Amino acid sequence: MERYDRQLRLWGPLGQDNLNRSRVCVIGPATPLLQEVFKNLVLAGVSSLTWLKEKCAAQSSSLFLADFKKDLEPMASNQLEYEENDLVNILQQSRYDWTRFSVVVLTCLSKHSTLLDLNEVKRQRGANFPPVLSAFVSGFYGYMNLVLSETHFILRAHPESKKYDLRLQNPWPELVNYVNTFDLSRVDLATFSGIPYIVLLIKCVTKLKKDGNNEKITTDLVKDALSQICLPLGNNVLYEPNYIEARRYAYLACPQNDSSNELEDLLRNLKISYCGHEWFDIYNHEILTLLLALKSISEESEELGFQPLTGSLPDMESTTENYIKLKELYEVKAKLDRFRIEQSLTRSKKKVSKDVLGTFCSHYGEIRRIMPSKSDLLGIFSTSNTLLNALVVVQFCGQLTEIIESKDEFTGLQADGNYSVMAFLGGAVAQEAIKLITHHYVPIDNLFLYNGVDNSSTTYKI
Amino acid sequence: MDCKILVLGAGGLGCEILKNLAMLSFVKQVHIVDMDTIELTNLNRQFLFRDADIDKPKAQVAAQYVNSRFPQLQVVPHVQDLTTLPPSFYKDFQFIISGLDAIEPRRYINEILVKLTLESNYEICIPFIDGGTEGLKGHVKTIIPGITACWECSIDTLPSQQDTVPMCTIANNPRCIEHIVEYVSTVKYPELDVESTANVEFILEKCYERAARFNISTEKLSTEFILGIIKSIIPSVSTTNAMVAATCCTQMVKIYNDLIDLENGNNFTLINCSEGCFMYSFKFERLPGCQVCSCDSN
Repeated sequence: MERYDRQLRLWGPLGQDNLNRSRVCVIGPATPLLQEVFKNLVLAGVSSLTWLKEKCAAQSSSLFLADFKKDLEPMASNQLEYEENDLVNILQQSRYDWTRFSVVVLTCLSKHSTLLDLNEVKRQRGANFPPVLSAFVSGFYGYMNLVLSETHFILRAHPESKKYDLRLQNPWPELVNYVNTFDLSRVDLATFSGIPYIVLLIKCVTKLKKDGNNEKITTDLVKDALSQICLPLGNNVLYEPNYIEARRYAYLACPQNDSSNELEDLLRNLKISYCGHEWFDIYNHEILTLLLALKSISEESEELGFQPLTGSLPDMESTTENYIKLKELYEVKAKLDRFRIEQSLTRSKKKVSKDVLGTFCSHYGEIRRIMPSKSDLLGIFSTSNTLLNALVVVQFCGQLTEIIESKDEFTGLQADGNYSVMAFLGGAVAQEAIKLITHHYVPIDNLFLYNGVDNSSTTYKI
Repeated sequence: MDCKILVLGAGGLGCEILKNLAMLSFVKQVHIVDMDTIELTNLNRQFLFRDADIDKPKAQVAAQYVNSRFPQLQVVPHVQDLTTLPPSFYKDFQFIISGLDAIEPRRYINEILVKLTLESNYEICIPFIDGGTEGLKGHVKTIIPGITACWECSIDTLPSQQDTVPMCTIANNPRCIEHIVEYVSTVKYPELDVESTANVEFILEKCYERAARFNISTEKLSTEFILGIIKSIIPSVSTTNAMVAATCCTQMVKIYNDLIDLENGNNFTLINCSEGCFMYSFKFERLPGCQVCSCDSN
């Protein structure tokens, strides 16, 4: 695993294991884009590749790898399973097993009829078809489209700023008891400085509620309460690092508009009927099962919106002893919450792998989902975006029409020397495939347009 | 015009840049500078290297790979610290593309290029395209010395060091396993070379001991974890490297073909793929009074 150390830090051993076991099918003619996708996937650890070749009349551009199989093999850590087939043959096999692939990637398809055929194959199989990424590059421009057949759940979104679930507004009884062991009217400054800000903020919230505060709790109210409860300690308290932290994080004690609300919405609108059909991807199925378990716990216990505590605590000013005690309280509660979920699963005779359950509970706030769009592989044809239209025309008609030629904005739509543009899209497509396979990070939803002249991109939903 | 290009760094970005340049017919000669040797953890992205190349110099192996397959391109490796190359070395290139992992060499090369431009009264003006990555994020800066913002102009935009933990916490009041590792590696045994596996094992053992004394959970503790903290390892993956390196090369192609407005166009590009896929460019203005590129600073 040492080979993958630098990326294990992004998606962990579980994500890497999924990559190592995944099979990816790439469809298209021999282009730099296809080759770049292959290279990036093999490097990341994908150990099974299938290339379904589309024969292309157009002159092939020069490639970096001379012999795909021979040149890709040394980039893999294990034996690389590599297979080439003629796409036309495969499309004639009505029983071809598409479900063995984790992702299907279409790179620079050139025939409209091929796309129609593939779309029909996909349609016939309903939800039982892998996610499809379809990409094309011309000159300095390119697009990438994700077409899902079932809802994709993300186990860990890895948001830019980590949010801790601290339950400052509704601490559980054991935490309240611990907070009550600190009596601010009886401590000296030295003892005070060892009290974690979490304790201080919970005291503020308790005070605000006790004082019959019916208003929504705001940062200002929390800060006022803080100075009041610390009054007995005198003015020097203002310089204590834990006091400063409590002021800085006062907002954590207020109701927040963030992903936890998003998740509540997700739960509320989750349909039980989801569970009826066969799920293509085991992770999607397991994450949904877990979400439904949360829903049923909430309903049974009449506890509004039960969400498992993650149990992680940020570092903060505190004595070692106080911090470890607090951390223990969070960890114990997290374990109990997890146990409740396990029990609920047992009662409803559902099974979820231990690893998924573990990540789900310890990073609960990071769950996201992407729903399949109504448009299929042919969605790229019915858009009003001029750049996408121009690209699709070049892709399937092979040449620029007069309409496009008159558009100054697409200078370089057929420029030569665009290997690096292919390399860019090759990176982007492989990245999206990796996200889908690992269930880490949020994939595009669902059309990505690349403008290499301006170095800019847009994403919108078709 | 046949093009001669200098690539700084033969790591994740360097390998990608070299490959992209090899596919451009107008590029005839590339020099590549890197003083490092190949390690196993490079192989998830530095695709010009094989397991058998471990411990060999990166620049040399990368050059060999491309030279043996693309005879129309000549790649010249320089296995050395780029700051030891004389300023005169740099002036023969049409472009300089960097995929470095440290700040100092970038500042060094930036200063040399700005000086070359100002001292030659703009007769020499070598575009400097700088790429960088961290996890699924990256940036590309296009610097036209003496004309657009130089590398130094934007130095204040670098993230400041993470909130550093006070020494008294690390020494007397450790709360988490990171504090333990910090103490053992920087206070107790700062002289140990962490390139040696035996030393890392030793530090690991000492961390376990100290964590037990303070009753701190060792769940996360492992050699990888320790190295991540000591060497402040930046996560890195083939896909982001490919996208950033490609953006650097596309910039070069556009400048070569006179497709962009160098003076007024956008010179900074950000890429972030952690939520969807996102690329954004903007114009970073020159910093008045910049220590390197401002004329009135002298």
